[in-house]
Amino acid sequence: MSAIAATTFIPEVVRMSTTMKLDNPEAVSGSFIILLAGAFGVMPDTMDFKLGQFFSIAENEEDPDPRNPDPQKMADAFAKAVNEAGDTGKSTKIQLFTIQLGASLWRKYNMIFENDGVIIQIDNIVKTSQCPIPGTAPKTNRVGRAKFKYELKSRTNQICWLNKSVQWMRHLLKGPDHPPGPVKPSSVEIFMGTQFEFRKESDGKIYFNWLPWHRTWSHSYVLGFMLSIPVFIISYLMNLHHWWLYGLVANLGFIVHITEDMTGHIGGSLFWPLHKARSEGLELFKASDPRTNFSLDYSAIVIIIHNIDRFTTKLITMPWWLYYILFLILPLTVYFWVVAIIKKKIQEKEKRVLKEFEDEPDGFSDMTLD
Amino acid sequence: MEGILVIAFSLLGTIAGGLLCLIPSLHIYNVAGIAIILWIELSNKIPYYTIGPFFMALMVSFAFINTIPMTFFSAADESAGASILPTTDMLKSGKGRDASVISGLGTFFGAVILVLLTPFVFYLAPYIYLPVRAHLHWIIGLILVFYVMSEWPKGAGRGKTPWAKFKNSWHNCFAGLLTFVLSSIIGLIITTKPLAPPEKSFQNIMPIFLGFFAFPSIIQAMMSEAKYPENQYNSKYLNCKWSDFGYGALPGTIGGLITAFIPAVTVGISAIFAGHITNHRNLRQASFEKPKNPNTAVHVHIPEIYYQQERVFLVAGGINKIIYYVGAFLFLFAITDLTPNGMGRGGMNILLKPIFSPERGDFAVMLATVFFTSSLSLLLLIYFTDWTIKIMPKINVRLVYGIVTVVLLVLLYVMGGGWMALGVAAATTCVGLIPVFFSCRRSHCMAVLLVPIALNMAGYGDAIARLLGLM
Repeated sequence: MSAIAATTFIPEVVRMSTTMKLDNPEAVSGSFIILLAGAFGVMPDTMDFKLGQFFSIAENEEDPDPRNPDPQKMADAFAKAVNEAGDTGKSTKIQLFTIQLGASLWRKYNMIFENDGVIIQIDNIVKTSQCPIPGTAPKTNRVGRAKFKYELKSRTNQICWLNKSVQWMRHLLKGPDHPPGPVKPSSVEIFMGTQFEFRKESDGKIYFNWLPWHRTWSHSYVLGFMLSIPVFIISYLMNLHHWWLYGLVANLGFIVHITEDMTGHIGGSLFWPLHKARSEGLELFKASDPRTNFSLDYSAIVIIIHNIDRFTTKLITMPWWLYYILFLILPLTVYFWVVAIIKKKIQEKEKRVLKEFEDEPDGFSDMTLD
Repeated sequence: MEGILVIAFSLLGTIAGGLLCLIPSLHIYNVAGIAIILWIELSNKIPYYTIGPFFMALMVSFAFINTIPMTFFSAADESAGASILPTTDMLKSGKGRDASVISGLGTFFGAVILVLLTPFVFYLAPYIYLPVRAHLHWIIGLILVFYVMSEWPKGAGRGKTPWAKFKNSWHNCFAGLLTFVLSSIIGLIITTKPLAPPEKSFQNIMPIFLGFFAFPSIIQAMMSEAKYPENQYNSKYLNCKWSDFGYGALPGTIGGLITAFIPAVTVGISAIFAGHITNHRNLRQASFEKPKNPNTAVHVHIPEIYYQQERVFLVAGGINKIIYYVGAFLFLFAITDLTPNGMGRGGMNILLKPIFSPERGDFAVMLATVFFTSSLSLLLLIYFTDWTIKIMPKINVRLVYGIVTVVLLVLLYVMGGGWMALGVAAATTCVGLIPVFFSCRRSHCMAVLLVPIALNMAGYGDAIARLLGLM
C-alpha cells in the first residue's frame, strides 16, 4: 500500500492510469503501470517466503512425531546444533517443523531460552486460526531440557559499516540501546515451522539468528534496481508512452518496501550482492504491532485518494493541509486514543485473569462464556 | 395505501427469500432472476414503487438466512471465505447454533452500521467514488496481484534439497495459480462470447457461479465422511460478548465497503484484505509466565482476545456480507448532485437495470426497508436455526444435495441457456474442484469476473480477445 501511495505522487503515473482522458488526449487506454509498484512492493517478501527459504538448508532438522512428540529429543537436537556451532566455529542451522494433527489442528510447542540452555515445552492444540483449544495440553512428558556448552546472545557484536550506520541512526532517533536481554521465548504453531542459525563470535558466545533466510538477498536496493532493468527494457521495446516510468515505478515499489522494513527489528541486506551482511533494523516499530500496520495502510489510502483526485478529477477543493488534518491526522489521533484505552483495559483484565487463576493448571482458562 | 403495499412487499420478499435461501447452494441472484421474469409478466398488476423494497427484502433475507446452509450443510458461495471455516469448526464441536446466530447478529449489526454510514454515503463517498471510478482497472488489478502473491505455501517444506522443499510446500500455491489462470481464461471467453440469449443476459453468469462455487461444494459435501454431533448445544444464552462486535466492526465495515464500491470483489477476497489491515489480536500477545503446573517449565498465558477470534471473524463476516449484498444495492439509491445515478454496484443492480431506476428520496424508504427486514430476518434466522438443528439428524444430507443438484441443473437448462450452460457449468465445476482438493483459496475462481472487468475497464478487453482468437 505504501508503495502505491508513493507512486501516486508522480502526476504522470496517475494521469496515465486514468481511464478518463482528462489532459492526456493521446492515451488510448488506462495504464496498469501502478500494478508494477504493487507487484514489486510485495516481491521482497514473496521471494523470501515462496523461494528463498527453500534454499536455506539446515544441517539439523527436528520433525516431531505428531502422535508422541518427545520434548527431550527436541531439546537435545537444539543443544547439539548450538554446541556444534561453538565447537567447530562454523555457523549451523536448525529447522524445527510444526506438528500437524489434522486439516486444521496443530500441536503448539514453545522454546524457552536460558543463557546456557533450552527448554522445550509441548502445549495445547491450536486451530489454523491460532486459536488454542483449552485443556488439550498433554498430561505427561511435556518438558524437555538441554544445556549448551556456550552462552547464547540475541545481539551480534560483529558489526560491519552498514550495521554501524544503522546503529548510529537508531541511536540518533531512539537514544542508546537497552542492554541486550536473554533470547526471547519462541513458539512453533502452524504451517512451516521455524529456522534458527547459530554463529560463534569473538567473545566466545553464540549469536542466535532467527529466520536466517529472511530479509537477506531479497531485501536489497541493488537487487531491486537489477530486477527493474527488464521492465525498463520491455517498456522501451514495446514503445510505451513514457517508457522509463515503468522501470522507475517498479523500482520505487521495491525501495519503499525495503525502507519500510528497516524501521522494524530485522533490517535487510541492503546492498547485496555488493555487501552481503544483513543489517539490524532501526527498531522504531514492531512488525507484529497492529497499530503500525493499520495506521500505515490507512495513511496510504488517504494519500492515494488525494493524489488521484488532484491529478485527475479535482473534486476536492479544500487545501491539502486541511485535507490531511481532517482525514489523516484527526482520524488517526482518535484511532490511537481509542486503541490506547482498549489496550489498557485488555492489560488490566489479563492481569486480573492471571491473578485469579494463579493456582489453576495450564489450559483451564477457556475464555468463552457459559 | 402506498406505505402498506411497501411493507407488504417487504414482508413478501423477506419470507420468499428466507425460505428459498434455506435451499443449499441456491444463490439469491438465481432467485432474483426468476422473480424478475415473474415481475415482467405481472408488471401491469403490481405497483412500480414496490419493486425496490421487494428486491431489497430478498437481498436482506439472503444475507441472513444463507448462514444456515453455509453453517449446517457447508454450502459455500463466493462469500464463504469470510465465515465458513469457523462455522465448520464450531459445528464440529456442537456449537452450530452459536455459529449461526452470532453470524446473524453480526449481519444485523452490519445493518445498523449501514444506517450509521448514511452521512458518509451522502457527504464523503461521492468524493471517493468519482475519482476512484476512473482508476478501478488498476485497483482491481492490484487486488488480484495481492491476492495471488499473498497465498503463502502451506506445506511444511520437508526435504533435503531446495527442490524437494519447494515441492513439499507449494501444492496450494500451484493450485491457486492454476485456478486463477483457468478462471481468467473462462472469464475472457464468457465475456467475449455470451452464452445466454440477449433477453436472458442477466442469467449469463449463472452457470459460471454454480460451477465454480455451488457444484464443487455439493460434491465436497457428498464425498465428506465428516460427522457432526447430532445434539448441538442449545441454550437461551450465546457464547459471545459485546466486545466481539466492537472488534468485528472495523474489519467488517472496511471489508464491506471494499466489496460495495469495487466491482466483482466479493466477501471472501475483501475479508482477507480487511483482515490484513485491521487484525488487532496482537494488542496483547501470549506471554510466558511462572509455571502453575509441576510438569511444566512455564505457563503460556493466552489472552482472551485469542479466544475471541473465531467469534470476531463471524461477526465481521456478517457485517461484511450485508454491506456486500445489501449495501451495494442500497448505494444505488444514494443520489447526489455528484452522483445522479447513485453509487450502486453488485449483481442486483445489473439484474434490475432493465426494469427499474432509482429516484431521489428513495434512499430513506430503502434504509427503512433494510432495518425492518433485517429485524424480521434475524428472528427468522433464529427460528430456522433451531428448526434445522431439530431436523438435521433426521434428514439424509446426501439425498438433499441430490435433489438440489437436480433442481439446479433444471434451472440451468431452462434459465441459463440450455445445453451450453450445462457444458459451461461442467467445465467451471472442474476448475472449482481444484481449491476443494488442493486447499487453495476458493476465491481465486473470482478471477472469472475480476480479470475481464479490469481489462475491459482499462480498454484492453478487445485486444486480449483478439489475441486469444475470440474475435
